[in-house]
Amino acid sequence: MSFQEKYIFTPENATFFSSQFDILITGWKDLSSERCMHFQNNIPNFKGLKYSFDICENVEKLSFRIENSDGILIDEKQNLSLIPELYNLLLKSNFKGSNICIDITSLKQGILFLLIQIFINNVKPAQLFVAYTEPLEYKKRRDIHIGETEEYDLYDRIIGSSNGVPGFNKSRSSKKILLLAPIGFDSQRLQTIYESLKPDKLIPIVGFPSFVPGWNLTAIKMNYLILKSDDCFDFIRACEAASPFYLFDLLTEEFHRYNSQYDIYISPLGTRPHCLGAALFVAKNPSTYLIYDFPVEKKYRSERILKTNIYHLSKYIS
Amino acid sequence: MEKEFKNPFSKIRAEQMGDSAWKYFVVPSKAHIGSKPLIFEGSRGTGKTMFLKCNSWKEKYNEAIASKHDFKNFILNNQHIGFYYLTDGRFVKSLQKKNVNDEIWIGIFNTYFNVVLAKEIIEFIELLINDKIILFSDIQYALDKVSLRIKKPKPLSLNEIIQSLDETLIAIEHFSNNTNEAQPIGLNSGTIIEDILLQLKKNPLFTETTFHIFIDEYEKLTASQQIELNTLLKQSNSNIVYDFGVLSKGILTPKTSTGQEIRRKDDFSLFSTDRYDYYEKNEYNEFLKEICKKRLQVELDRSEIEFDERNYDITFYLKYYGKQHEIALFSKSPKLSKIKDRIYEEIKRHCSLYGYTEDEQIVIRKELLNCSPIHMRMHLALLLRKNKDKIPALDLVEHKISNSAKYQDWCHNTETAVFYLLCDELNIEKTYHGFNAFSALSSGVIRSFLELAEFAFDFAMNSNNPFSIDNLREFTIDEQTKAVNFVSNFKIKEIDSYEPYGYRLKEFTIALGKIFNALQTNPNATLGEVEQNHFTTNTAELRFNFPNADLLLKDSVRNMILEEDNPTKTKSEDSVEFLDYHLNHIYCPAFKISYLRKRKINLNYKDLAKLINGTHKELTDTVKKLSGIKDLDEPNLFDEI
Repeated sequence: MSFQEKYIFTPENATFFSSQFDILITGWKDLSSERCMHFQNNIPNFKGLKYSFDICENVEKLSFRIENSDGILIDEKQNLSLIPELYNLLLKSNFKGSNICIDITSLKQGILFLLIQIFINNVKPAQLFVAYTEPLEYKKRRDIHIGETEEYDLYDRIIGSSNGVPGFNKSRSSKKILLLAPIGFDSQRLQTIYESLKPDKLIPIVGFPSFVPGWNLTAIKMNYLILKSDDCFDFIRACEAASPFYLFDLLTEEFHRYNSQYDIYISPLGTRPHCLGAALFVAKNPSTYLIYDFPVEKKYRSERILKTNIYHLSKYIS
Repeated sequence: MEKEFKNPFSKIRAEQMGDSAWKYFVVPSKAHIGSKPLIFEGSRGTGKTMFLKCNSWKEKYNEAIASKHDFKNFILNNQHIGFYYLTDGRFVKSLQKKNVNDEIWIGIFNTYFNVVLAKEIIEFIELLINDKIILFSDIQYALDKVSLRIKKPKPLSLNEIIQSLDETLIAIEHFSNNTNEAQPIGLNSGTIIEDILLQLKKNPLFTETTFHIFIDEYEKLTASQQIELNTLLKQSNSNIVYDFGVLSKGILTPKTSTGQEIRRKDDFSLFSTDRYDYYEKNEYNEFLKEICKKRLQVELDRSEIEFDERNYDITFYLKYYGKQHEIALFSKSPKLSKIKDRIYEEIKRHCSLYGYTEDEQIVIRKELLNCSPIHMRMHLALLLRKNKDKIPALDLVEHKISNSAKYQDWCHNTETAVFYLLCDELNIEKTYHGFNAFSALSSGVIRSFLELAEFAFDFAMNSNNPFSIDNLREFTIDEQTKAVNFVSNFKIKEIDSYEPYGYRLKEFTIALGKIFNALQTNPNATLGEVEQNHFTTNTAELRFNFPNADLLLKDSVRNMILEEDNPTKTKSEDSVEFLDYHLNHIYCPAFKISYLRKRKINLNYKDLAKLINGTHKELTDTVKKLSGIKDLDEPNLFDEI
């Protein structure tokens, strides 16, 4: 097991951590969500700027808001073209050489991938942290409607993988395709990507140990049909659900094992820390492909808070 | 000698077959690669990729090598040499917007398309050079020109030109990810392809050759990109022909960049599997048998045992057992007495209504009850008819005794519906067996048929009497039925994965299934209208009032969830347009409904909009309203799957 710079954020170390960065990046989500606001509301020493980012459903348009630590609005822009405006914003602002923390709890994945790519390869801040607040429970469906098969009520809809991930577009080669997919609770997502990609080999990755015991089995249960149809049970890999570092290591291992035979496609459908690990890996390994289906998350999709982790990612900065 | 029998149908998709797709390929009788461009249009699973791939040089070359032909022979034997391109949907979609104007993107797309095809063509040229059929110098002029176009140094070898093309491709990738990067070269459509292929044509070996560019999954291109490729199709000539494989309704525009349009017959031939009755044609059934024969040959020939001709015939395995099996089960069912009780009640009602004598009552009871369960259940339905359709019990008896034409009509028209009713009422599983049933269930989608066959083999190979190379036997009713039910259920589940509206379409499909099931299993059905499994609606009104629902309806046709039947147009002033929509037969077993084409229901466009795009409450209420009978408190249909 390799070393990982992962810390549990507690009231005792909150003062220390909040003085470690001068720019906080968050999602532009519902401010009334306890889990989304948990980290931001508990960093008393933070005196820097807060950037909130949002993107539209088809991942083309960017909106952002800049506030100071007292919540006073400094700048706000809406409906900019995500590319190239995010590059322009981050490269022209004071990000280079600064200490940055991204709270990914509420940040949409479409922008998370691109942010990581730009920070790691282009902006290169002095230090890069990521915070993530884990839920205690995800919301289950109360009523089963006609045609619904999902046990959990996590998404309004899924935009689909026919759009490339901004910043990670890459033309297909003639090699065979290996799909590495951290899986989650929604049975439709892996199936859709599988159907669209038609991989020659599938390696599912289950979050284990999971945030809450048993969630790893739920993930297998929800994806059972596609795992069965691909006959890939023997290839299932386990990786701590809360660890982007271990996912990075696992992807590195599989990459070296299969790179000569296959084009490696990574589709992070599981936890947000796994999305982070996948983004780090693809940003560092441009010969791999990132494929994502851009689900539109429910406003209230989780209940209560388990804990917040802080990941120190500076070692990945190129 | 290989003794282990592997399922001959385990590879369903062309993509799964790697370099051996040609081994399984059968040419559809009406699809033709020739000097005129071909557009092969069909829903998913109809063989488009297989057709284009297997007509491409790589598959034909693999086939030639396997037959011990050399490369030169291969060229001499193939007047049409094709290069295959599978549209990279995600990537081509990224070549737009991002604060860059459309014209620039179109130029970049053209460069991309030229480059990926050029790489494919150069792979072919490399073989020609390796086999000393041509020299590098024969092609050098064209490659110099290509280098000039992409602003790279003149190549001294094929590797150098490949490197230049790769660099161009990487520059396009970089620009698509960050438009602050250097803008790649923009070209006109097809220029590089033309440079290389026309140079090749100068070699005497290729004088008679027509080169083809096969573009698969054309529907994934944006409208502007389609316009560029339409232009190439329009400009096709005996040197280079562009052919498309496209999903139903996937052509977004017929326009070309020169302001013209591509037109069927003038510019291209169309091979479409999207005719409602396609699968009812002998052409389709024979095609399926040929496909199966190839697959069985590949598997059986591995064993080096000599087999009987029938062992290569899928109809041998998918044996039809007749109706007797189900009739025997109906006769033995303890629940049959409940149907008899209902007939007694109806006879009583008729006796009181028509004042039949005691003797007449005895005859009625004897004739209407002492018969096969099929006739018995039909009699009940006929006795239930009222008002102008009423059939007095004694009249019915007379028809029966004399076996009148009318009685024969009743038997003929209601028989299948009665089977489904009895299965439902006696709680007996509907059976599916025989090649014809499998073919009809596949609704013209070859992939569905292959999946049905795959699971039939699977169930047979894993049964108590395992099917093997030493035990090539007919499949049992049970094995065939299990395969049908399994495939039918997973095909419903699969709808989820049809981007981008799969989750909506699945709800809609299940809602339709519930409605048709309720209508077909109505215990009070008089069987005047039987086996409802399609609907008609006013598409003009739907399009006008509910454009989003109309879009989803089109998407369900594109994905072959519904099949559009020939429109019945009313040329009135309101230009009202009605279309029939058939539920793909593959879903029928999961919904326990008949797959035969019999009756349609009229579906008001407002109700249809609610079913396809309404809230959960609207959907549930509409299903309840249209079903009329069944309470939706029953478990979600999917829970039963």
